[in-house]
Formats: sequence, C-alpha cells, structure tokens
Amino acid sequence: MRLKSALYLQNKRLFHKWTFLVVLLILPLFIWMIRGLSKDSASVFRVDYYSSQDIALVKSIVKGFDEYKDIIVFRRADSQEQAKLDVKSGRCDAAWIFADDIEDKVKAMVEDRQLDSVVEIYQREDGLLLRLTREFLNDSVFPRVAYESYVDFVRHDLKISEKKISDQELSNLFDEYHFDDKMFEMGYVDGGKGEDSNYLLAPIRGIMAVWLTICSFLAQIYYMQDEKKGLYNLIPLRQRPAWAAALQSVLMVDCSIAFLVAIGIAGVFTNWRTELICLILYAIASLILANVVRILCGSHVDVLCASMAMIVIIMLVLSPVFISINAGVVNRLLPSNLYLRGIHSPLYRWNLLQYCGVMLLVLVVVSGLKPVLLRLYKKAL
Amino acid sequence: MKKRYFHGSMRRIWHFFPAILMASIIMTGVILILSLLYYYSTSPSGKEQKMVIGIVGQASDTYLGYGIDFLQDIDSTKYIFEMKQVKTEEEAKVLLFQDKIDAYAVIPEGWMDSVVEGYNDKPIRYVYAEGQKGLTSIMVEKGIDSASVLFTDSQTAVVAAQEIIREHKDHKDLDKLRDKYNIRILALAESRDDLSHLNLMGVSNGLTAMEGVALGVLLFAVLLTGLNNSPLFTGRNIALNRLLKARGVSPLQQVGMEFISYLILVLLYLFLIFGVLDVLGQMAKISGKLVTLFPHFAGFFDGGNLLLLYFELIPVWMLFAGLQFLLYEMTSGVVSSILLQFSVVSGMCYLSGYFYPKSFFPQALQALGSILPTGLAYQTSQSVLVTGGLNLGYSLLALLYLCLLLILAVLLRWNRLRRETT
Repeated sequence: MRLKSALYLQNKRLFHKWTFLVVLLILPLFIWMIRGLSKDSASVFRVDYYSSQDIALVKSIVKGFDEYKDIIVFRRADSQEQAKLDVKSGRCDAAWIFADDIEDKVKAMVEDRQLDSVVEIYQREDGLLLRLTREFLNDSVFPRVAYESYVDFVRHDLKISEKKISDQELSNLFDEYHFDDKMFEMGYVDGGKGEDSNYLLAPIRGIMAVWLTICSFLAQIYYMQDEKKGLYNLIPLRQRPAWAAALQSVLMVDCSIAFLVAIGIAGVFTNWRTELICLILYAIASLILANVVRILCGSHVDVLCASMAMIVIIMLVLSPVFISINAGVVNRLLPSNLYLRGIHSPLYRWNLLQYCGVMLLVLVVVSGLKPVLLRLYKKAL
Repeated sequence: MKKRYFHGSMRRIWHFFPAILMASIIMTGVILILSLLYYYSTSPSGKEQKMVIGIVGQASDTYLGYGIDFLQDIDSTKYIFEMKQVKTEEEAKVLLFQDKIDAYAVIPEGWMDSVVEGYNDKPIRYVYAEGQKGLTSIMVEKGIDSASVLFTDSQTAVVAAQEIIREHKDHKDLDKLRDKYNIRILALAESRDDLSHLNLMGVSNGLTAMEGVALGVLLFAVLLTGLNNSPLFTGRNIALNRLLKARGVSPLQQVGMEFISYLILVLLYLFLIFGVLDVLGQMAKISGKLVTLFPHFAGFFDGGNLLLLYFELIPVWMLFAGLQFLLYEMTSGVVSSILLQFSVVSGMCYLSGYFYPKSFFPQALQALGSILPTGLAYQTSQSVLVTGGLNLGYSLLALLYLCLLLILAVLLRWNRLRRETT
C-alpha cells in the first residue's frame, strides 16, 4: 500500500465514527458558549461600598473604580450593616466603608505628616488577590492625599499665602501638570503588547495544549492496536518508523485544526506565523514524547493510559495554565510549558525546537536499547 | 444468564484492578507532590516569595534611585521585589529565559528628565515571564496601573510645587526645596496602606479560598482516574450485548450489572487510596500543619477520620462513577472515549468552580455550573467538609442525579442494540 493511500484511509477511519467529529467540536463549542455568556457581569471580586454622606471625594473615588470594572463589580450598599452582612453571607468578597469626615481626615493627616485610616474594610479572609484590591483602594484615595500635601507644602513650607496664589490657582496648576498617561506599559518579550482577553478564557490555550498531548497518546494507542492486528507486517522494517510517524500525524493534524479553531474563538490567537510555528513544534514534541512513553510501557495499553493521566495532571499544574509554579528543570521537560511560554518568547520557541531534537535522540536510543534489554532479561530468566 | 454475566463483569474488573489501583496510587502520589509544590510556592507564612525584577537603564541617577525604591515599595502583596541591574535588554531576555529573573523593566533614555520636567511621554516597558495572560498577570497588570497612577499623582504634586518654587522663591533654593517635598510625598506614598483598616470576619459558613481550590483539585483528580479505567470500556464487542439481549438480559439489566461492578471497582480503589493517605497523614502529623489554611480538612486528618470523609462522600463517588460510565457508553472507539472523558470532565469542572471560584463567572454560567453533576458533587462535598457530617438532602439529590445518568446510559444501550439488530 502506498503511504498516501494509507494516510487517506487512516483519516477516513477516524471520521468513520461520527462521535470523533463531535469530540473535536465539543471544546470549541464550549469555549464559544463561555465567550458569549461572559461578555458582561463576570468579575473576579464583588465589593460593596458605603458612605453615609454624599461626599465629593467619595464620588470621585467611586468614579475611579471604572478602571477596574472588568475584574471588580462595585455595588453601593444601603447601610453599613447591610454591607457587613453581605460579606458574612458571601454575597460579596469585601465591604469598603468610607469615613463620614474623610475629607477633613485627609487634610489633618497631611498636616500631621501621618496617614490614618479613612476606609474600614471588612472581609471574610485575606489572600493575595484581595490584597491587590486593597492596593486599588489605597491608590484611589491617594490622589487626594497628594493634592492636599501639595497645598500644605505651598502654604506652610513655602509660606505663600492666598493673596499671592489663590486656592483656585493652585488647583489649576495641579490640573495643568497632571499626567494622564500611564507610567508603565506592559508587554511581552517579543515586543507584543498584552492581548485583550477575558480572564475566564485565559487558560483555554493551556487546556487545549494538554488536550493535544492527550491526542498524541491516543495516536499511540491506535498504533498499538494496528500493530497487534498486523497492519504493519507488510511494511519493510526500516520504513516502519517513518510510516508510524506519518500515520500518527493524521490524528494530530485533525486535532490541531480543532485546536486553532478553539483558540481563535477564545480570542487568544496572536498571528498565523507564530501560531503555526509553535503549534507544529509542539505537536511534534508531544508525539515524540508519547512515542517514548509507549516504548517504555511496552504493549500494555492500561499502563500507557495511566502514564497519560499522570502526565496530564503534571502538565496542568506545572505549565502556566491556571497558575505558575517554578519546579526548576521539571518545567523544562514539559513541552506544554515550552509551548505556552514560546508564544511570546523566541528563546522558548528555540528551546522547543531543541527539545524536539533531544527527545528524538532519546526515542532512537530507547527504541534501540529496548530489544537488547529484553534479550538480556530473557537470557537471565 | 444474568448471574453469569454479572460474575463475568466482576472477573473482568478484577483482571484490571491491580493495574488500575497501581495507576491511581501513583497518580495520588503525583498530586500530593504537586500540592506540596503549590503550597510552598504560595504560602503566605514564613519567608515571602521574592520577585526578582531586572532593571535595564541608568539606575545611578538619584531620582531614579527614588523611583526604584518606589517600585520596591509598590509591593504590599506577598512578593518582595528585588531589583537587579541589567546592562542591556538582550541580557535581560536571557536572564528571563533562564528563570533568573521574573520580569524586567526597560527604562528609556531620558525618562527621568521627562518626569522631572512634567512630561510623561516615555513610559517604562514592563515585561513579564508568563507566556500568556492569566488571572495573576491580569491582577498584577492592574496593580502596576494602579501604582502608575500613584506615581504620576505624586510627581504631578512635585512638578506643580517646583513651578511655584521657580516663580516665587530663590532659584538657588529650588533643588533643596524640591528634594524636601519629593521625600515627603514619597514617604506618604510608602505609607498609603495606613489609609485603610482591615477587619477579618472569618469564614463561618463556607470553605476558605485555599480549601475551595484543594477540594476542586481533589474532585478533579478523582474524575480524571476515569482515564485510567478506559481499558475496561474500550474494545467491547456489541455482539455480546446482542447475545445477552437475545437470552433475556435486557439493556437495563446489562447496564445495571456493568455499572455495579464498575462502581465496586471505583469505591474499592478510592477506599485504598484514602486509607493510605490517612496513614501517611497521621505519620506526618499533618493535621497541625493544615489547620491554618485548611481548617476543615485538618479535622479529618485526626485519628482515622479521613476514611470517615471517604464514607461521607460515597454519594459523590457514586455520582462520578455514573458520569464516567455514561461518557464511556456514548462512544465505542478508544480515541473518542478518552477525548470525550477529558473534554467533558474538564469543561464541567471548569464551569462548576473547580479551577476558579464560581463567583468569578457571570450569573448565567454560575447557574449552569450548579446544575451539572460536577456542581452538585462540589456542593455536596463542601457541605460535608463544613458541617463535618453527611448532608441527607444533597446526598439524595446526588443519588437521584445518578439514576438520571444511568437512565440515559440505558437508553443509549437500548438504542445501539436496536440499531444493530435492524
């Protein structure tokens, strides 16, 4: 049989069962559903705020909350007690109660050169992300502190009275020099800027990468079944590795297309060149890794499935899918880690290519050594 | 015939049991190691994690020194920023790749002059290591935006004050007065945490955030053991089921017997895993170490209570076994079976708040997540952990859901047999 016909028949065999097409489409459809339903009202935190008075400073602080509306939902509570009750019952993550005399307190603090609390925060527990929200709150109040300290400096340190410069002129000068531009610009190693993606869809690329690794293991199971049925018996021994690689690639190509569709729907697609290079390298790396594991597992499908499950869990935790854990050299052994970091880093892409080369060498060594070790084992028995 | 088929199913289970048990134990070991890695990388107690930031630019300038001190002090989270001077951006990229720094900041030439003169047209480019935007990087980005506002407001005050000094004071006093004010405003910025006061009310009727994550990981891992069980389901011959039907064993009886034998397998290996964890936990005296971050879990590690947790969660294990069984019933090929298990389980767990708290999702998705079998399993488990005992209501719901899943499995089997015979 010619290779081209074999590839065609392999693909036909996969799609012969309609469930295969359904399985390919499940994740992209799921992502599409999440994307559609998460357009509004998704938030990392819910914060209730309360001020008993209608204070200009509080109004400007609340207006500033718009900056964070993609991650925090702010809601005005009817009373202090209601806000605390919402925290206790879990209806919100934090309650911010502004002091009634917040403006006077800020002035007094600046004159005393010592800050004091003007907002009471109520939370059930603390954690890294909640500490960051406190940072947002403190930074929202600080502009007023900065302004009052500027006025205080001019009046008390420079001893310039209202007759020389009025309060209004001071305020106008402050506004004139106010920087609207951001001090920092976030970006990636390759110069790209952070893509606008919803935090809910951020792990999709990582989940799909792990899914693609599972596909590479499934290609091994197919290969083992075909080998058992004797489908490779007619192929010369020297050509078998090439045929095996080609036939395994059929499943990988089908799954890779579903992968690209999924990340396109999720909105994390960068550009065709980067995506294709990274995806091809990653698919090759996963396939080689799966082949190495298959040879080590021998003819036992159950052992291969167990290894696959373990590798899936390790990849989900040690690759930057949901969290980022530095486990030293173990991170470098995972193709998913190199792939996810390689999307924005040429150095990691190069590393992924090197990984393919090294794993290919390992595959050659393992496949060569295995019959020798088996012979020695049988001799020993 | 029915009895023989049931015995045959059990024999099949026993044939695969040692391998499945071994695989599950090894997977449990791997999960424990990963949990320890996660715990030590995020633990707020003990030494804080340093985030090393490379600084590319002229750091010798006095004002930049203030700026770097400021950057160091924008940390009020668990990280302590450690600044490392780097000569060029290329060198910083290599250090980032080698994991010797966590991020780097490129300070453009003339940045300090632009700030002092009141222009802010040269932003500092901050590059972080993560390959894609995740929740933590989104939050850190917001934190840095927020710090940026803090810095610009401080500098606005300094620049405006500088203009007033130039107009109304002696020029020879400019540097002295400006520096005096700069130091004062930076001191205020550094103590901005004092602007708010935190009151912790305690988690009275739910799990802590860490416990929520731990529970999600535990339940997800149990569901993933379904992948280990694939040899039981793949390669089945529908001809046998046709023969059984011809001999009077209905699809309902076939599914019933197969499910009971599968359920016994699942309950048995989970029992053994919990038993091993209980013994290890008591040997390591882990209860004391868990009590701060995992108070509800800690109680179950005292004196054999982990097995009690296992028994109280039996409705959950049954529900999971039913879900795995139904998914395997939907497909016959090995490729489709395993992909379906992973895709459906991951999707359901994601929506049910196993990876992110459910509150992160919009209302519609939260509602959907709650009615999924994984959502019900999570709520049942949460209730057991919080109350320390079995919740009859949730348990009955779980069993009802299991019946629904099995009815679907029976219908699928019946439909497949009907198609095969026509």
